[in-house]
Amino acid sequence: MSEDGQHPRHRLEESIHAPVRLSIMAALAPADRAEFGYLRAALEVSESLLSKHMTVLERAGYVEVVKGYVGKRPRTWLRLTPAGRDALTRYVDALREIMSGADLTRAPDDQ
Amino acid sequence: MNGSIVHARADSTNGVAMNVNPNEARTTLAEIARTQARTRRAGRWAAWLWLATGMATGAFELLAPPITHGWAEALVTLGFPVIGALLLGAAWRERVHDLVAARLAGPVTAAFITGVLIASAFRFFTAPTDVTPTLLIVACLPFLPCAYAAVRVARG
Repeated sequence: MSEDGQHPRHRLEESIHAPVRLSIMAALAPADRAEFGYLRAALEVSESLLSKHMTVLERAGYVEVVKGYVGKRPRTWLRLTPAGRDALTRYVDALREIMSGADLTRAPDDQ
Repeated sequence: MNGSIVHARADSTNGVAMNVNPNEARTTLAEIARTQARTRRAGRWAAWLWLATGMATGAFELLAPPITHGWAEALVTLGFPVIGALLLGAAWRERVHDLVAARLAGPVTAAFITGVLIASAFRFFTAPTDVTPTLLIVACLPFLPCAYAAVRVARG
Protein backbone atom coordinates (compact mmCIF):
# COMPACT_ATOMS: atom_id res chain seq x y z
CA MET A 1 0.00 0.00 0.00
CA SER A 2 1.10 3.53 -0.67
CA GLU A 3 1.73 6.14 1.97
CA ASP A 4 -1.11 8.42 0.86
CA GLY A 5 -3.65 6.97 3.24
CA GLN A 6 -5.25 4.45 0.94
CA HIS A 7 -5.03 1.57 3.37
CA PRO A 8 -7.32 1.97 6.42
CA ARG A 9 -4.41 1.41 8.79
CA HIS A 10 -3.26 4.92 7.87
CA ARG A 11 -6.41 6.22 9.55
CA LEU A 12 -5.44 4.51 12.80
CA GLU A 13 -4.46 7.71 14.49
CA GLU A 14 -1.33 7.36 16.56
CA SER A 15 -2.55 9.58 19.39
CA ILE A 16 -5.34 7.16 20.26
CA HIS A 17 -3.78 3.91 19.08
CA ALA A 18 -1.91 3.21 22.31
CA PRO A 19 -3.93 0.67 24.30
CA VAL A 20 -4.43 2.83 27.38
CA ARG A 21 -5.47 5.85 25.33
CA LEU A 22 -7.85 3.78 23.23
CA SER A 23 -9.30 2.33 26.43
CA ILE A 24 -9.83 5.82 27.81
CA MET A 25 -11.54 6.95 24.62
CA ALA A 26 -13.71 3.83 24.47
CA ALA A 27 -14.70 4.12 28.13
CA LEU A 28 -15.62 7.78 27.77
CA ALA A 29 -17.62 7.38 24.56
CA PRO A 30 -20.96 6.34 26.15
CA ALA A 31 -20.56 8.86 28.96
CA ASP A 32 -21.21 12.55 29.23
CA ARG A 33 -18.40 12.51 31.77
CA ALA A 34 -16.64 9.96 33.93
CA GLU A 35 -14.61 10.36 37.06
CA PHE A 36 -10.86 9.73 37.07
CA GLY A 37 -11.18 7.08 39.79
CA TYR A 38 -13.75 5.15 37.77
CA LEU A 39 -11.45 5.06 34.75
CA ARG A 40 -8.48 3.97 36.84
CA ALA A 41 -10.49 1.09 38.30
CA ALA A 42 -12.17 0.16 35.03
CA LEU A 43 -8.95 0.12 33.01
CA GLU A 44 -6.83 -1.35 35.83
CA VAL A 45 -4.01 1.13 35.39
CA SER A 46 -2.08 3.24 37.85
CA GLU A 47 -2.91 6.87 38.54
CA SER A 48 0.35 8.04 37.03
CA LEU A 49 -0.12 6.06 33.84
CA LEU A 50 -3.69 7.26 33.46
CA SER A 51 -2.62 10.85 34.10
CA LYS A 52 0.14 10.59 31.51
CA HIS A 53 -2.17 9.29 28.78
CA MET A 54 -4.94 11.67 29.83
CA THR A 55 -2.55 14.57 29.26
CA VAL A 56 -1.67 13.32 25.77
CA LEU A 57 -5.35 13.08 24.86
CA GLU A 58 -6.05 16.48 26.39
CA ARG A 59 -3.24 18.06 24.35
CA ALA A 60 -4.62 16.41 21.23
CA GLY A 61 -7.95 18.08 21.98
CA TYR A 62 -9.76 14.76 22.36
CA VAL A 63 -10.45 14.83 26.08
CA GLU A 64 -11.57 17.63 28.32
CA VAL A 65 -10.50 17.50 31.96
CA VAL A 66 -12.74 19.18 34.51
CA LYS A 67 -11.68 19.52 38.12
CA GLY A 68 -14.24 20.07 40.83
CA TYR A 69 -15.43 19.03 44.23
CA VAL A 70 -18.03 16.63 45.56
CA GLY A 71 -18.62 18.01 49.01
CA LYS A 72 -15.10 18.71 50.22
CA ARG A 73 -13.48 15.96 48.18
CA PRO A 74 -11.69 16.95 44.99
CA ARG A 75 -12.79 15.12 41.87
CA THR A 76 -11.42 15.03 38.35
CA TRP A 77 -13.88 14.43 35.56
CA LEU A 78 -13.06 13.49 32.00
CA ARG A 79 -15.21 13.85 28.92
CA LEU A 80 -14.69 13.32 25.22
CA THR A 81 -14.72 16.47 23.10
CA PRO A 82 -16.58 16.47 19.76
CA ALA A 83 -13.18 16.12 18.05
CA GLY A 84 -12.46 13.12 20.28
CA ARG A 85 -15.75 11.50 19.33
CA ASP A 86 -15.00 12.03 15.65
CA ALA A 87 -11.50 10.61 16.05
CA LEU A 88 -12.80 7.51 17.82
CA THR A 89 -15.47 7.03 15.15
CA ARG A 90 -12.83 7.26 12.41
CA TYR A 91 -10.61 4.83 14.29
CA VAL A 92 -13.41 2.30 14.76
CA ASP A 93 -14.43 2.65 11.11
CA ALA A 94 -10.84 1.98 10.05
CA LEU A 95 -10.71 -1.11 12.27
CA ARG A 96 -13.95 -2.36 10.75
CA GLU A 97 -12.52 -1.91 7.28
CA ILE A 98 -9.37 -3.77 8.22
CA MET A 99 -11.44 -6.53 9.79
CA SER A 100 -13.63 -6.95 6.74
CA GLY A 101 -10.61 -6.78 4.44
CA ALA A 102 -12.77 -4.93 1.94
CA ASP A 103 -10.02 -2.43 1.24
CA LEU A 104 -7.72 -5.16 -0.09
CA THR A 105 -10.08 -5.93 -2.91
CA ARG A 106 -10.51 -2.31 -3.98
CA ALA A 107 -8.41 -0.63 -6.62
CA PRO A 108 -6.60 2.54 -5.50
CA ASP A 109 -8.76 4.63 -7.86
CA ASP A 110 -11.89 3.52 -6.00
CA GLN A 111 -10.76 4.97 -2.70
CA MET B 1 -13.76 -7.21 31.20
CA ASN B 2 -11.58 -4.81 33.11
CA GLY B 3 -8.79 -3.07 31.23
CA SER B 4 -9.40 -5.39 28.36
CA ILE B 5 -7.92 -3.31 25.55
CA VAL B 6 -4.86 -2.63 27.65
CA HIS B 7 -4.32 -6.30 28.30
CA ALA B 8 -5.29 -7.52 24.87
CA ARG B 9 -2.71 -5.28 23.25
CA ALA B 10 -0.17 -4.89 25.99
CA ASP B 11 2.63 -5.65 23.56
CA SER B 12 1.60 -2.87 21.20
CA THR B 13 3.49 0.36 20.93
CA ASN B 14 2.87 3.43 18.85
CA GLY B 15 4.03 3.14 15.29
CA VAL B 16 4.89 -0.55 15.41
CA ALA B 17 1.31 -1.52 16.23
CA MET B 18 -0.14 0.62 13.46
CA ASN B 19 -0.02 -2.48 11.25
CA VAL B 20 -3.15 -4.11 12.54
CA ASN B 21 -4.23 -7.34 10.91
CA PRO B 22 -7.91 -8.33 10.59
CA ASN B 23 -7.78 -10.60 13.64
CA GLU B 24 -6.26 -7.88 15.80
CA ALA B 25 -8.86 -5.44 14.47
CA ARG B 26 -11.65 -7.85 15.41
CA THR B 27 -10.22 -8.36 18.90
CA THR B 28 -9.77 -4.62 19.44
CA LEU B 29 -13.32 -3.88 18.26
CA ALA B 30 -14.67 -6.50 20.65
CA GLU B 31 -12.69 -5.00 23.53
CA ILE B 32 -13.88 -1.49 22.64
CA ALA B 33 -17.47 -2.78 22.74
CA ARG B 34 -16.87 -4.44 26.14
CA THR B 35 -15.31 -1.29 27.57
CA GLN B 36 -18.22 0.80 26.33
CA ALA B 37 -20.75 -1.67 27.73
CA ARG B 38 -19.08 -1.40 31.13
CA THR B 39 -19.38 2.39 31.11
CA ARG B 40 -23.01 2.13 30.01
CA ARG B 41 -23.75 -0.17 32.94
CA ALA B 42 -22.03 2.25 35.31
CA GLY B 43 -24.15 5.12 33.97
CA ARG B 44 -27.43 3.22 34.11
CA TRP B 45 -28.19 4.57 37.59
CA ALA B 46 -29.71 7.58 35.82
CA ALA B 47 -32.51 5.34 34.50
CA TRP B 48 -33.37 4.25 38.05
CA LEU B 49 -33.14 7.84 39.25
CA TRP B 50 -35.62 9.04 36.64
CA LEU B 51 -37.94 6.12 37.33
CA ALA B 52 -37.85 6.67 41.10
CA THR B 53 -38.41 10.41 40.66
CA GLY B 54 -41.39 9.86 38.38
CA MET B 55 -42.95 7.22 40.62
CA ALA B 56 -42.44 9.22 43.82
CA THR B 57 -43.86 12.39 42.27
CA GLY B 58 -46.78 10.56 40.68
CA ALA B 59 -47.57 8.86 43.98
CA PHE B 60 -47.38 12.17 45.81
CA GLU B 61 -49.71 13.89 43.36
CA LEU B 62 -52.12 10.98 43.69
CA LEU B 63 -52.04 10.49 47.45
CA ALA B 64 -51.12 13.85 48.96
CA PRO B 65 -53.55 15.36 51.47
CA PRO B 66 -56.48 15.87 51.62
CA ILE B 67 -56.86 12.42 50.04
CA THR B 68 -54.86 10.75 52.80
CA HIS B 69 -55.33 11.28 56.51
CA GLY B 70 -53.53 10.43 59.70
CA TRP B 71 -50.38 8.31 59.41
CA ALA B 72 -50.76 8.00 55.65
CA GLU B 73 -50.80 11.78 55.34
CA ALA B 74 -47.62 12.02 57.41
CA LEU B 75 -45.99 9.25 55.39
CA VAL B 76 -46.79 10.89 52.06
CA THR B 77 -45.92 14.41 53.20
CA LEU B 78 -42.61 13.46 54.81
CA GLY B 79 -41.71 10.63 52.47
CA PHE B 80 -41.69 12.73 49.33
CA PRO B 81 -38.92 15.19 50.37
CA VAL B 82 -36.94 12.37 52.03
CA ILE B 83 -37.01 10.31 48.84
CA GLY B 84 -36.03 13.41 46.87
CA ALA B 85 -33.07 14.09 49.14
CA LEU B 86 -31.93 10.45 48.98
CA LEU B 87 -32.13 10.47 45.18
CA LEU B 88 -30.15 13.68 44.93
CA GLY B 89 -27.52 12.34 47.32
CA ALA B 90 -27.22 9.14 45.30
CA ALA B 91 -26.86 11.06 42.05
CA TRP B 92 -24.24 13.35 43.61
CA ARG B 93 -21.92 10.43 44.38
CA GLU B 94 -22.12 8.66 41.02
CA ARG B 95 -18.91 8.54 39.01
CA VAL B 96 -20.24 8.04 35.49
CA HIS B 97 -22.80 10.32 33.91
CA ASP B 98 -24.51 8.71 30.94
CA LEU B 99 -24.44 10.54 27.62
CA VAL B 100 -28.07 9.79 26.74
CA ALA B 101 -29.21 10.92 30.20
CA ALA B 102 -27.26 14.16 29.87
CA ARG B 103 -28.78 14.89 26.46
CA LEU B 104 -32.30 14.16 27.73
CA ALA B 105 -31.94 16.02 31.02
CA GLY B 106 -33.05 19.43 29.73
CA PRO B 107 -36.21 18.51 27.80
CA VAL B 108 -37.25 15.78 30.25
CA THR B 109 -36.83 18.09 33.24
CA ALA B 110 -38.89 20.75 31.46
CA ALA B 111 -41.65 18.23 30.70
CA PHE B 112 -41.48 16.91 34.26
CA ILE B 113 -41.81 20.38 35.81
CA THR B 114 -44.69 21.17 33.47
CA GLY B 115 -46.40 17.97 34.59
CA VAL B 116 -45.84 18.81 38.25
CA LEU B 117 -47.25 22.32 37.76
CA ILE B 118 -50.35 21.02 35.97
CA ALA B 119 -50.95 18.33 38.59
CA SER B 120 -50.38 20.78 41.45
CA ALA B 121 -52.70 23.37 39.88
CA PHE B 122 -55.35 20.71 39.39
CA ARG B 123 -55.06 19.67 43.02
CA PHE B 124 -55.08 23.28 44.21
CA PHE B 125 -58.24 24.24 42.35
CA THR B 126 -60.22 21.00 42.78
CA ALA B 127 -58.98 19.91 46.24
CA PRO B 128 -59.78 16.25 45.55
CA THR B 129 -60.73 14.08 48.48
CA ASP B 130 -60.90 10.82 46.49
CA VAL B 131 -58.85 9.20 43.77
CA THR B 132 -60.74 9.81 40.56
CA PRO B 133 -59.85 8.80 37.00
CA THR B 134 -59.08 12.46 36.21
CA LEU B 135 -56.74 12.74 39.18
CA LEU B 136 -55.09 9.47 38.15
CA ILE B 137 -54.43 10.85 34.67
CA VAL B 138 -53.15 14.17 36.02
CA ALA B 139 -50.89 12.39 38.52
CA CYS B 140 -49.36 10.45 35.63
CA LEU B 141 -48.22 13.65 33.90
CA PRO B 142 -44.97 14.04 35.89
CA PHE B 143 -44.33 10.30 35.66
CA LEU B 144 -44.50 9.98 31.87
CA PRO B 145 -41.40 12.04 30.90
CA CYS B 146 -39.43 10.32 33.67
CA ALA B 147 -40.48 6.90 32.43
CA TYR B 148 -39.51 7.88 28.87
CA ALA B 149 -36.07 9.04 30.04
CA ALA B 150 -35.60 5.87 32.10
CA VAL B 151 -36.36 3.65 29.12
CA ARG B 152 -34.07 5.64 26.80
CA VAL B 153 -31.16 5.54 29.26
CA ALA B 154 -31.67 1.85 29.99
CA ARG B 155 -31.60 1.06 26.27
CA GLY B 156 -28.38 3.06 25.89
